[in-house]
Amino acid sequence: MSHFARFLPLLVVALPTLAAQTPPAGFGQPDHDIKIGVRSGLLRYDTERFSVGVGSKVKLTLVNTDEMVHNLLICCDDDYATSTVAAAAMMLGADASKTHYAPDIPEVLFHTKAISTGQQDTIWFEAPTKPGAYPYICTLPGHTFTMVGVMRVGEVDEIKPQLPIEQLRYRLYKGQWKTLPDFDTLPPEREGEIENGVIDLAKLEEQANFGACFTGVLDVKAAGQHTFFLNSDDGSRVLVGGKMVVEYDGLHGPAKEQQGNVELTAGRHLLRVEFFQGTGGKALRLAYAGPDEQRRDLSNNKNEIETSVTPISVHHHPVVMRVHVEGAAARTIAVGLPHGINYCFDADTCSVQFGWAGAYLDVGPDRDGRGGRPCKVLGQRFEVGNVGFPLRTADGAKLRTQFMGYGTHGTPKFTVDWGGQEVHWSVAAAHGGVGLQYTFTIPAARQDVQFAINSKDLKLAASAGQWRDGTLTVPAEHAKSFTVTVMMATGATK
Amino acid sequence: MRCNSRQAARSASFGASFGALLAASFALSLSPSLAAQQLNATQPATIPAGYRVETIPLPDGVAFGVGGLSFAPDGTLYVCTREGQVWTLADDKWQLFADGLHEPLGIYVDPKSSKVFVVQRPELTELIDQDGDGRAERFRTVSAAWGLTNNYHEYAYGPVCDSKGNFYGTLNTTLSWPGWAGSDQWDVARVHDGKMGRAAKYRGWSFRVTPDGTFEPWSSGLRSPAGIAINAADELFCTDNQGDWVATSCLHVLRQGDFHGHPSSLTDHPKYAGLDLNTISVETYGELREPAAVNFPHGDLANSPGEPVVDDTNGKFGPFAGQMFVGDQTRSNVFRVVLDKVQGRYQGCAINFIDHLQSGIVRSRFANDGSLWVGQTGRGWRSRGKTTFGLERIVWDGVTVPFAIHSVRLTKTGFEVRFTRPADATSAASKEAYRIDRWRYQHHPDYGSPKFDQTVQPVSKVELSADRMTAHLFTSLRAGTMHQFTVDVAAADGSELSSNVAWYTLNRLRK
Repeated sequence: MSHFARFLPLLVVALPTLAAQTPPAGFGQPDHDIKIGVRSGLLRYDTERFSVGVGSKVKLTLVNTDEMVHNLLICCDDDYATSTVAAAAMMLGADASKTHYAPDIPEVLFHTKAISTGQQDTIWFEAPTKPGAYPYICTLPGHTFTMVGVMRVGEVDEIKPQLPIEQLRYRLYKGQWKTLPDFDTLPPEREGEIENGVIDLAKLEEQANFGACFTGVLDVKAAGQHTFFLNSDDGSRVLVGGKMVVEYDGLHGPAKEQQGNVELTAGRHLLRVEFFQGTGGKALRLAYAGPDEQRRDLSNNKNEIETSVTPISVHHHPVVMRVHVEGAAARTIAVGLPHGINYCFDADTCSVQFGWAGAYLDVGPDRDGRGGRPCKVLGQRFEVGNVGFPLRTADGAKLRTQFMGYGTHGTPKFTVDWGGQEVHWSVAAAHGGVGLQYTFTIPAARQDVQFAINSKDLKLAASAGQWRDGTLTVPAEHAKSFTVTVMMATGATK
Repeated sequence: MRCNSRQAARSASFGASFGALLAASFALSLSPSLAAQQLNATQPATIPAGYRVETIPLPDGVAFGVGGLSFAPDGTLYVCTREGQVWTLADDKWQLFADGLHEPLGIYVDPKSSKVFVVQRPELTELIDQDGDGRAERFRTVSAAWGLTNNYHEYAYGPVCDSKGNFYGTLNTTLSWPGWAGSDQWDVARVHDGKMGRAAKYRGWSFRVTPDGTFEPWSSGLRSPAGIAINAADELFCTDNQGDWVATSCLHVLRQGDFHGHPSSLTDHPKYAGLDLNTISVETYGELREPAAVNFPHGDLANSPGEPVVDDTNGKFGPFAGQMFVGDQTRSNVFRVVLDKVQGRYQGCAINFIDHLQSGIVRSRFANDGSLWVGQTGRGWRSRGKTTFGLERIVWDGVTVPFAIHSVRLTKTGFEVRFTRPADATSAASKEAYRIDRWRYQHHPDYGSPKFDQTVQPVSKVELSADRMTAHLFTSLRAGTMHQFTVDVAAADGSELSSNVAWYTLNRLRK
């Protein structure tokens, strides 16, 4: 606690995670009550941005709804803070769990405990007095790549958000339609206010055969042409000042975003959004842009997006799946290693195509409807200098290759027939950086073997042999088994 | 937009009860059939007397779109799923055998060696449990010689195995319509503006893989051949699904070198190498093809048939021994196919059997006890029924012979309609009891074919056999036509037909 004592006079963490937690004596009423959850299987916080006042009193609760253990460390606003903290966390080794994976260094300002499924942990602290962007990360192994967020610290006036839509209200109707009805002739089932000023179908708590009419006030900053972007499942329509701007009527999925332009004066305009839903999927996405305003969302699509993601989690053992993956070959074998390193192997060319850091795969595209669409990687992609099957003979010649299969016992291992001799190639996560470690086993090797790679932006190492112009030559006596480590030169992902 | 949300509801209610059942099974050794009866009280609207349907409890909380079924010699059932897993069912217990496969749509357990093979999208693979822990950890590539892109329609089916140890399978064409999924990358080898093409090698072919792993293209011209079967004489069959160049869903006999009618696959035929397939006329393709052995009228009987399976139970499944059973993925029904050899080639009839089950049917297998297990996945094509996936079995009580049309066969003078047991002499001998509708289909690049030249074919005379089991219908005959028989005949004891319609595909006349 020595560093913490210096930096965080108000930090209190030594409380049981499941028992009700109370603020430290004398803390008083917090100015901000922030709750941050975890998106299941995605290695992402559900809140990746929040704002607090300078020096304000903050209550922050991490709620772990994921299957894995997570923590939350707020770092100082230094550019390299997160990588410094992540690297320090990695060095904690066997003692990591005792200190909740929080390294005792000045870059860590505040942190929660590392908590498992269903637990939550609350910390109370006084926000820094220096305005800025303070990143927060989870330091469990592999999670740092994607579990990141930013706490913005600023003057209260500055951070007070303007409501996207003021005085936003809804009226809900029940019925079955194929196109939008005239809502004004129908009796509403119920009505209410949406306080945060964001159109959100989840607030209606309806699934099928309903309609809704949202009304509110849009505060337009500058006169000129404004564009409204609309997408929905099923039909919808947007009116500004009683005039129709954009429409996407009928029974359909959110297939194609519609656009409509309208000239508006600066000041307040009445906005009206009509929507109806038949059965099945439902969505309503609305955004707008003005002469002086970047495109911004007027609707919350978070719930909608989350239901369409089907993440596969990687726990203590590698997960090996043959699936189509976005940007990868048709005969891909996608491997998720523990600690957030993943890669795609191509069984056609017998090569590692690329890797990514973060969570493993969203298999929703492969599983929903007719399926068969490429799965999405849930992290940041990194290159591995793929040049096809990387081994060459002593004189640099390529040989014919044929994929023979793979094993999933322990570290995944691929077997390749390389010009008549068997090569076993196992692929693990590299130590001390973002990358992969290859182990080649060639039981019948009698001569030198070369390993070729596109070495651009890579940091390479090998257990044996000499590098020359990005090619490794392994002498015959080591060719039966050798390792090559391929890492991002900067240690950072793209 | 409507999509299927039944899965979630299902795992909530059904999954929970299975959990309880599973717990009970440890203590009481509750058999799956008993459990199934408790869970499935409702029976299909159409089902012959003496048959019942049982729902098999599935592993809790697992998406279980069945892609293949196979029984090991010890009676263990192997099921591969579209979600990439292989499960085994033995002693009422499910166990995960393999995971991470690429939409395997067929599984084969060798009856002698118990080796396990699957056809997954990219390859034919042997799944090996090296350490005997009940879980495969070695995946041996037997053959990956066919082409593959990331087009969802490039399904691969099989394997079945012949008496010499050769594997067979079938490969879907590519959905090649320009602009599909926002891309023209798959628009390769579409012929005469059909929807499907060939974006990779051997799409639209059936294939053989010899025991040493050598891949051989076997027959061409398939579109969406969703199920392959082999009989005891090593004769191969597959179904195909209605669409471009496929007038209606059908059953093909797969003979080496045959062309079945969808031209895109000819790109990989040595005889057509380098030729622009659009320079060959639609009519010429019609002449080149070997027509389907049995057509399944779209909308009347089948929309998307899965795998045929031959009843080799020697009567343990009732009076239909030797016939084929086919499930449909959209209609969720099971129908029978009876082959009729005419001029040395198969043609024949199809008759509805059970209509309908809980979900779309793609795979069927007979168990040692003679029950027919049907594997289901309704995902993607909106099947009838209450679930999006599942496993059921159809059991015959071993006693009751239902009154059914056993078969329709071609004679030189007309047709022979055979019943499963003696018919009422008066109605069965009357011309008015049989209505024959006739039409023909058009072989063309359009999606499916309407019925052309529809006519009611007069029956000039009926002769009922002495055992009152067979009615000989005299009528004029024309090759290349479909016949629909609507039969208004009761059994001698007054029972009604469970399905009173049969469809006969007349490709060739009997000489």
